[in-house]
Amino acid sequence: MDKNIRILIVDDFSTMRRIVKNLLHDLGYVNTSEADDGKSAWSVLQASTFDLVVTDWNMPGMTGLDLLKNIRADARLAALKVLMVTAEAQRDQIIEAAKAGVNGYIIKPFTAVTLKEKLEKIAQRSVSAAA
Amino acid sequence: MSAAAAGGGEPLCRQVPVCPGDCLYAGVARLTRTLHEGLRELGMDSRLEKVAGSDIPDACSRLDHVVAMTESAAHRTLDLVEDGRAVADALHDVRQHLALPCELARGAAQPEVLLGSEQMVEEAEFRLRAILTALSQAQEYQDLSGQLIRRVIVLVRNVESTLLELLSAGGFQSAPRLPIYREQAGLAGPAMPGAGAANQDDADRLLASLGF
Repeated sequence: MDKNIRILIVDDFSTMRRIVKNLLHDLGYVNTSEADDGKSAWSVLQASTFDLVVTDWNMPGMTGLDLLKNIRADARLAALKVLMVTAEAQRDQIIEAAKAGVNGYIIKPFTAVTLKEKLEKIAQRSVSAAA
Repeated sequence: MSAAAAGGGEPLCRQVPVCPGDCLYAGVARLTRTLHEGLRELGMDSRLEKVAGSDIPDACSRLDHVVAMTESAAHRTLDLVEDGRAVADALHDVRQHLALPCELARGAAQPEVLLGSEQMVEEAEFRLRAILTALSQAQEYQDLSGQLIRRVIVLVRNVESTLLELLSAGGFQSAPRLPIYREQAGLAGPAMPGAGAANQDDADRLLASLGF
């Protein structure tokens, strides 16, 4: 995946935003912004252009799943890649996220290796889809 | 409370031979009155008022404080991780500075000392970066434990609301009605040990079966 892509990190826990940002920086992705719930992320997405959203699910205001649904329903944002990083680990929830159009799903706690793998997989699928 | 106290020794439905719904309401009303009187006699009303009015809010404040403390500690650790990254970057710069002397030394009679030094710096840099990444990841506990504690706070506040409503309905005091706090509907939250939640491999297999 192009290391210059713009990534929006969405999580209501500031520590988790910072951890995800650090791990992304380690992987060479330094063009990151942050939002503390779906609602503020939605405002940021309306105002700027991003290539990837890394979002938590369970947040006050607007959940990550609702953010994902809003993104898929918006003509300008519909193709935006969304990686969910969440503690929600029930089978039904994973299926719900898949049906809503998530591009990757990581269960907390996670490792840098898992994050790297999922980013590579999203990039691979983008290339395959474009070919 | 004895059966006699609650209903004169007879099943409630036999005493109030009306439709099942009325029977239930009459029974609940009688139980409430008995409970009300019992609580007054035992001096429990003031204890319940204290539990609902101050003990529970105090417990919630303490849990909020735990979340704030762990958040602060995690941020302090992440600050130190970032300081450590600056040291790793400095080691990287040292390696860059050693590159030219090392290149020149390759043709010399005994280049081992310099080349060995470059290798040692490189190993130290990589080891330090791996430690810092692991330290950073270890702070995930703050998010997960914070989510679990917030769920407990919501539960405790709901008990508080219910108690205050009961006290108010029982005429013990004019307790303020508190909102019932709600979690995001249907979300299970962080998995507890033995709760049968999916791990990353399970999630990957499930998504693969769905064509991901």
